[in-house]
Amino acid sequence: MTPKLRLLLTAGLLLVLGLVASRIRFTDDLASLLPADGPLPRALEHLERFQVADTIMVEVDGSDATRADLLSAVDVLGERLQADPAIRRVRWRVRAADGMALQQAATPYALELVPVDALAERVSAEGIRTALRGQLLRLAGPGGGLFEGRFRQDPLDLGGLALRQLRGVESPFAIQIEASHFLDSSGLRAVLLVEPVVSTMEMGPDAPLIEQLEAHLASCALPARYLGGHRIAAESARSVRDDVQRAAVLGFVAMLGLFLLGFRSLRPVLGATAPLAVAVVATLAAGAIIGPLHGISLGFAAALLGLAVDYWIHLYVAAQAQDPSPGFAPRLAAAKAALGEIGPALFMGAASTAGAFVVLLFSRYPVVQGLGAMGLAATLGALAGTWLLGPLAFAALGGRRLPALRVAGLPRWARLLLVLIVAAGALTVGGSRFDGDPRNLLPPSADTQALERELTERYGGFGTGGMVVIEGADLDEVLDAADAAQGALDALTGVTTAGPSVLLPGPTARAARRAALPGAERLQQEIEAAGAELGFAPGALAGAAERLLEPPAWPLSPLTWSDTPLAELVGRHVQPMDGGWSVMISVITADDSLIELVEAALQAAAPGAELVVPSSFARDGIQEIVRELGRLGSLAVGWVLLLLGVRYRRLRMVAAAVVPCFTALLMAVAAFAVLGVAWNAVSAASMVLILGLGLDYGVFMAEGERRGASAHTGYAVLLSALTTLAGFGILVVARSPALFGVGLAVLVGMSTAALIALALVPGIARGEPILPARLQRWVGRLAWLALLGLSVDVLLGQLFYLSPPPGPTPEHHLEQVSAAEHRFGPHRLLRSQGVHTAYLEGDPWQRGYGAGVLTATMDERLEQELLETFERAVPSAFARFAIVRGAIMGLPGLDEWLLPEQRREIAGYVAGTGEHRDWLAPGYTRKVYYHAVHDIGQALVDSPMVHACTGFMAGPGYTADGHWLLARNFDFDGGRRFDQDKLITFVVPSQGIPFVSVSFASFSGVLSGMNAEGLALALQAGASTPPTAAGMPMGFIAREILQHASSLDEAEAILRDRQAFVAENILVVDGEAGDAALFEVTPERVERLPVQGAMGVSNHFRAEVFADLPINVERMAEGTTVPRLARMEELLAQHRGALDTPRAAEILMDRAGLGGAELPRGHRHAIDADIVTHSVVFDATARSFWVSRSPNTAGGYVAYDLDDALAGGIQPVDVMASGDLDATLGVHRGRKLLRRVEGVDPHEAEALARQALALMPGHPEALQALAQALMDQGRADEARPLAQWALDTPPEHGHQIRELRALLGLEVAE
Amino acid sequence: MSLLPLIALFATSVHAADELPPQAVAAWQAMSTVRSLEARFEQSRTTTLLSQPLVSTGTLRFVRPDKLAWVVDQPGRSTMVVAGSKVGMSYPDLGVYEQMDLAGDPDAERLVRSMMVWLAGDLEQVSRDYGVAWAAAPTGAPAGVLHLATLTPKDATMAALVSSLDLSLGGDPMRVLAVTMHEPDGDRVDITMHDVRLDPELPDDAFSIAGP
Repeated sequence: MTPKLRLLLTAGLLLVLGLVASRIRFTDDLASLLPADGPLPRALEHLERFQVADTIMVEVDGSDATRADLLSAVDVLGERLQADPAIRRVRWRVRAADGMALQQAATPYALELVPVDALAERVSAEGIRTALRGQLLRLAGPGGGLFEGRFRQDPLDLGGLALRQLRGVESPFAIQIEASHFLDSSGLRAVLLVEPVVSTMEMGPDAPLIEQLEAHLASCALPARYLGGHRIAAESARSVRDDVQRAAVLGFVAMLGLFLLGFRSLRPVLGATAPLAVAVVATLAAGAIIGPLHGISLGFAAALLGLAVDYWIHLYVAAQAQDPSPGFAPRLAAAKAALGEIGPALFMGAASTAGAFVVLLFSRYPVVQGLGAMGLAATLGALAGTWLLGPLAFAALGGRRLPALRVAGLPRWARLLLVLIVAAGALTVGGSRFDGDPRNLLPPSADTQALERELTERYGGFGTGGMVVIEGADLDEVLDAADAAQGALDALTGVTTAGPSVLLPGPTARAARRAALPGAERLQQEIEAAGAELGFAPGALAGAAERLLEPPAWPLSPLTWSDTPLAELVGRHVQPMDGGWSVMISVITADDSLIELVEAALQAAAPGAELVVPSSFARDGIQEIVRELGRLGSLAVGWVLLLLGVRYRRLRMVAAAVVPCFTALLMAVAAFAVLGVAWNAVSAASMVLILGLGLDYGVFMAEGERRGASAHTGYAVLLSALTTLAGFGILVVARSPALFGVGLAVLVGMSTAALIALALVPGIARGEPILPARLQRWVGRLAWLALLGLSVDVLLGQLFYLSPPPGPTPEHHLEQVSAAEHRFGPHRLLRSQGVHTAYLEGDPWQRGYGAGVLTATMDERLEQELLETFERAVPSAFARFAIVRGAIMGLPGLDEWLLPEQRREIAGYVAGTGEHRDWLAPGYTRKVYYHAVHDIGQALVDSPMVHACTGFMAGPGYTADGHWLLARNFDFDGGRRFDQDKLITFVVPSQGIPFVSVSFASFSGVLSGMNAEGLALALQAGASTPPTAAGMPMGFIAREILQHASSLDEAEAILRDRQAFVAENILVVDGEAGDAALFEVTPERVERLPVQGAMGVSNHFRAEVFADLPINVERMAEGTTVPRLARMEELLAQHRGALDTPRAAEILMDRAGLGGAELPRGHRHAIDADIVTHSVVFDATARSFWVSRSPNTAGGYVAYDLDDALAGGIQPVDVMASGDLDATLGVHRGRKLLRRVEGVDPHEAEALARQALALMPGHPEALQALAQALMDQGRADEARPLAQWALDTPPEHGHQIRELRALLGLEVAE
Repeated sequence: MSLLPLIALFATSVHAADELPPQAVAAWQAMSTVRSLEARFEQSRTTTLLSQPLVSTGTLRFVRPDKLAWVVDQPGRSTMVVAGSKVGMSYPDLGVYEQMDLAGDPDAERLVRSMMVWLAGDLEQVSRDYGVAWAAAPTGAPAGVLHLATLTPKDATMAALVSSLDLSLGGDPMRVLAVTMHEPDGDRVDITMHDVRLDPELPDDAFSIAGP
């Protein structure tokens, strides 16, 4: 290629790219940092709609001024701000006109705005007298005659009551109105609430608003400060801009210095501008195509300077190594020769780096996608620039010969040290943590954070824990739901809310208020009687009641407040949206742990409500980053290995090429762990960059060794690494965590990559040992051993993993019918009244696939929770691995025990959910064995992962209407999600009887259910030893009964025909025939016990044949099964003849001991010990049923009609009231605290136990933990009374009795 | 918050100052020399709402140019304080306390200003809004009353609240001794003042709107 052609091609390329680049646009919109879909943008949508972060608080400090001076200063400032066109509204004082407008708006709706209690009090005989007396006082007061008109309209001053309500909602902050101004509690500081025209999301680094606002504040006669989302957004944007500028300048200076030092001439710097120019224009063109660009993407663009010159350095060094004669032509020839020599390495390096950037394009984070696009363009631009202009630049500018670098001569001890450092780094990676909260990418300054803390302490309000959003087509329905939600949240200790319920109560609340009033006639009598008593003229109060009760001309709506100062506040809580309304309640919590309580309360009170909390931002973000890392990393590694394998076809060379980048990744992770820096979405993406660039070094060094030029290549790699560090690593000076993370990762990663490339790669490529021979042999053996272990595991996996039956992919699409309902073909998932219900039909594969698609998210959550519970029970990862493998190998071929239709249903489910967690075992295998968790857990009843169920069957003689009932609590400590995500599945199979099953997502078996023939069934664990041979999991046996049996005899036949592998109590009621039986089942036999009227069941056997069964005897002696059953039978006797569904539910919610003795909340001797995963009452005669709502039974119950549901009406037909949420959730939190007691310092254990005891007063487990902690501190005198108290309570389990007796120094019976 | 009509109660003025007899002008001029005033008052409200007139007693305090405190002792406590553009009202027995700023609300501010004009003797201000009938005290007038000024609001808003105001003037220097307010619905309010102190030193906290 001639020089002219090179120049021509370059000019053409620059022209095209330049034209594209000229259309580049920039943005400071924070939204561009968030993924395009999922919960984060939805949360952002809510934040924008309700302008949550769009009020600025200005505080004027009058601590050193008189009150008059303070008020004067704030008035002047307020008026100045109000006059600024950038400010929409300023509130700082109460004006007479505001009060008048408010009164006019509120008075017609007084009856609907005043809460029932206050209203009832006001219309009582005494309340009426008090109100009229007050009106007399007003009439006698200054200008009292002018109250006459108001008095005649509203003699009981209900308008005054309403206004008092409204006053409480005027501001979200703890501000008092004094001297008609907003002041803090000390009265020394005044507050202005400023609402700018622009929203927080529109703020950039140079937004004029901030400058104008600061100018106004500076002109204030007294010191003034401000805080709000606008300030934080502007600071964040400024921080990014400053970081980018600083990094660009420092990077440029550092690179200039490096060139001067490395080449001892400025000529290479000038030469670098040629490829650099192409790279920069290409990068900007990419930015224009994907645009608009955010500051973080721009930061990378600036840092890409380092990448663009790498290739030029390699060319320059290689060309100089040709030792060309002076003159343009010889140097051009040398450069061309060098290009031919390093060409393969250049292309390999560019291909791998570009591949890594391409991978970023698949990120869900737009900002990461931007990085990918620009990185790809920069790499290709640098390659094109180097290829086209590099030789010309060298020919024109080439300088002195460069020194060679001896790179393979590290002494053995140094190499050993290097390996040890890397090994040490590998040990620290476990300490890595992720911060997925997007807000932390660009946090506010320390000053702003300090101010936020100070103002939050003084005024509250800023510490909003989250927002509850309720959406719907009908305003009245939405407002009703908001009332329910806000009422439930306000009832929680430590939680305060601000919502629409005061200004816009829903129709239900409004109707309830009107209903609280007496009739017009009675009210009139009361008013006239009180009026006569107080001296009112006869007839003066005629018609008062009628006027008072008259409904307003227009219903209460957001328009009611449109001309009042509350209009803005209404807009903060109620907004129209496409096809309906959206209501927001802001929630302020004392601490983040209460969010769980808020979630539970919401689930019970307003199931359709959506809770948006910062902690969920973090949680969702972390999950996203972990997925992002795994996805992008594996793609990049795959790409790299493919490229290298194709190129080298030798393991040694591939290893030499990849060692630098893999080591670099490892050390970057280690550095973050050691320094305690959390990974975030952006720094995590830089791992892909390290992979690509680190690979460059390995490839160049391996290629250099291959062609015998490692010395010169080493020099080029060193300079390249230094320039990359100057470009990217310099970001370590950035203040924003997003860019700092990238800088740190690149600094550590690329330093490591360069060091390893220079020190180890040539030796590896030559096949030389890295370590001392003996050590290397051992390392090799260990590596082989690990490889062998892995291979054995893979082999065993092939032998023991189960093969799913195949099935077709349905052609349906998942569609969201409404906020609460999804459909996939005929299959549906509905969330209504806090409970998920599914409707499935068709053949097994179709049902499974549909369920998988619809419940994939729930399935993932449940599996995560199950694995976390498993991790708590078995902290050692290796032990868990061994248990999982042991279970699979110990009970091989478990799916062979399943019916073909059951296998197909599970396989369909796995296909529908998509695969995840393959590392544990493939999806089908995992799901089949998860179904046996119930069976394996039988041996563990009354231990942490247990089923400790209590239930009963009752029929004529016991029930009021002669119906047959089956009621049970399914207790399972496997995780709260099994309760929160319980699933009621209505199944209409292509073969068999339609039925309902109450369990959780992904469970194809049956734990509690009822079929269309009126056969109801429940499983309750029996006493088992751990199973030694596989059989059919009980859930599937129960499923078969429900789907194929219509009588007790048919159920028994199935039980006798199937081989169980654990013991089980199976409660079966036949509503059609009017009969019931308890089947006590072991792997060896089945005993049928008829039900005479009623029978309680817990977790032991009572058939005579099992009387001496040791495990059964032990269960009865050690566990909680006996006291639970005794209490159940006592209650059955008490309710004999009066039982119905509500009373059955009452029994299931019983928390007392035998004889009604009070038990501490959460005591496991109680029928309801706050561990119920689902509580259900089946009326097998009526084929209706009730199911509990989370948490446990405290959320109340929802009712269903089976026949309606199987016909498609899967929404609940009734809802029963909630229970005591606070107490139930207190028990949960107490148990969580007690789980942390194990293994901690006795003082910390004491603190935890005391907190738990406060939440679970008198609970023996908490008492025992506290006693033990005190004893461990040598405080026996304090410990003993507590231990005795626990012993007297009594303890829940036999082993606790022994432990407590030992603690007290008493004799311990075996 | 029905402050607007309340304020209107006190808004009185005189009509056409140049048409008034010299003694009337002299009387207003005499009143305009008063810097501050404190007096006990008795108010009797006659209304169709009540079987008997509602009598209240209390203290009135005024400091030129814009401070007023109307304190009722019986039959229950209530206070209205005006200080510049700030207004505070309290009914301690009802637990009610209201305060507000009239700044930026010209109508309300005008009414508050006008309520003090007859105390301040601001003839020019009064003449803008009210027509005045001036007469000698009728036979049977209370002792000390020399003149009777009847003010009739020209503004329709005010007229809807007050039909007319009869000011009984007397004393040396001349001052308002009693006021009778006639309302459009036939109700009537009689206010008589006694123990009047002219130009006393009144403490600032007598006009505090800070509330309880």
